[in-house]
Amino acid sequence: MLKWMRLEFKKHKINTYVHASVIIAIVLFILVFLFAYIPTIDNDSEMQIFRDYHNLLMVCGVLSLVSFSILSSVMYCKFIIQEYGSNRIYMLFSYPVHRGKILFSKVLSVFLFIIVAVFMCNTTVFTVFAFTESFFSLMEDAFTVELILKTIQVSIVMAVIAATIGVIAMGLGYIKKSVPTTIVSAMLLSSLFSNIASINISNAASMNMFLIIFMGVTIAAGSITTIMLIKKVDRMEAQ
Amino acid sequence: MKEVAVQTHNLIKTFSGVDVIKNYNMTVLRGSIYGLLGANGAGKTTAFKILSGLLVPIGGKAEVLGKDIVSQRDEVLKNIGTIIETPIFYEHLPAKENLEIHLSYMGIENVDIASVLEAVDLQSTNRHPVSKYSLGMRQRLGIARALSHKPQLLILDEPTNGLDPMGIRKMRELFLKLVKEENMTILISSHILSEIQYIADMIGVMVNGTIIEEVPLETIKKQYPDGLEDYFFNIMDGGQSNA
Ligand SMILES: Nc1ncnc2c1ncn2[C@@H]1O[C@H](COP(=O)(O)OP(=O)(O)O)[C@@H](O)[C@H]1O
Ligand SMILES: [Mg+2]
Repeated sequence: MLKWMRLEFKKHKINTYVHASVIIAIVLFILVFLFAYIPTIDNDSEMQIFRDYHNLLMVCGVLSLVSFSILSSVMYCKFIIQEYGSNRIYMLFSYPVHRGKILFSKVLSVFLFIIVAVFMCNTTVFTVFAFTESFFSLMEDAFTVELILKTIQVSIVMAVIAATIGVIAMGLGYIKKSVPTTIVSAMLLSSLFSNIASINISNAASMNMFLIIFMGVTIAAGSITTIMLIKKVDRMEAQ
Repeated sequence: MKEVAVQTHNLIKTFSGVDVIKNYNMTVLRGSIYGLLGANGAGKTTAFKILSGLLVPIGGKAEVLGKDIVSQRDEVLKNIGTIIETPIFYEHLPAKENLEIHLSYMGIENVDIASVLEAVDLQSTNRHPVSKYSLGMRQRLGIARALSHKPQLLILDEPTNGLDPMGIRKMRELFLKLVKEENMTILISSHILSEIQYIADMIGVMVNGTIIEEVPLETIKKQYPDGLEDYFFNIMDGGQSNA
């Protein structure tokens, strides 16, 4: 499987997606900084919740999840939708390798890329932010070890959800072999996530519950999508 | 009697109710060049897609290199090289990388890629991405890729499209050499007789999805020393007005 995955990254310009991830991280950092900064100049009580590290972490997590879900869907368009939906399929189907295996290597390549990207992005943005905090001090509470662990935990969960939303969006887009459908599906699914998340944001217990349930449901849906696609390509014709 | 490389029995393929391939019977002998001649739309590409596992026939049977193309698809794919319509590549990569990726999937190592490219007049030192290639260069790269893993059978769908007369001639020489020196079998399609009459051992004439005549070129050459063109033209035309 590793061999096929390496070939996928060779076939598709991986640098493009690394650059995109770095840009997302930079934008995210600016947003996090603004979220923390605005409450210090504006006394609007609604905004004050962002002077708390936990809440800021969640907002940061949700924003990165939305961005990376969309990046993930864009990658799936390149890796899968456009490959199987055009005459590029002649090339894929000329290899004496089980078709499902190649498809799975594509799904897994993007999936793992997104997980690593989200995790790195979230932890880096938050670490850098916490570091600048020691100069500017925008937050009310302190950056503790507990918070570090929380950051890692939330980043992992968000990473998995973002990557899985991409898989589901790809499955929906695949039905129509459509790039817009894929990307719009990722937008809708991730905004569904962020809407529910924002309701629960200030309640740690219900937020945890929501994250676990959402992750479970998306993983189930993502797995079914992948299995169905693997079966489909094996019987598929290259018209 | 020579061994058989491709044998089909009454293949049928339908697109939205229309029989594009019907009663398709062909026998290709190992170590020979078989030219499939047919007008545009006769069904040559569709037939080749079936033989290379891209399409599944709704009726009949096709054995390629002794294996059933539907149930033993991957076994067949290991030993054939194909060009179907215009070859597709990883556009942002140079020729060499394209062949490397191809060979990884074919499960073949230690291929001298430089000499494979040289055989079709391409340079492995050319670092330009394939997207910068001309139609002729792409076609030649497609041929290089199809034969890079040393297949037993080459299935080439109008492979000389976009080549200049010099290039066409070089490819002819290459095909003859492959048969002679590597004992490959070549199945090649064209809508122009002159493209295959100098190399083919056997010619199959395809009209409306059916091979209506399968003849050794030698036989016809003897019978019609100066009227080869007319002979085939009459068959193709006659078949069409009968259908
Ligand atoms: N995927 C497809 N769907 C519907 N019709 C098709 C498809 N592919 C080919 N055809 C039709 O089948 C016929 C044979 O096409 P083709 O095999 O490409 O012929 P050739 O290669 O001899 O020019 C044509 O009439 C073409 O329109
Ligand atoms: Mg054709």
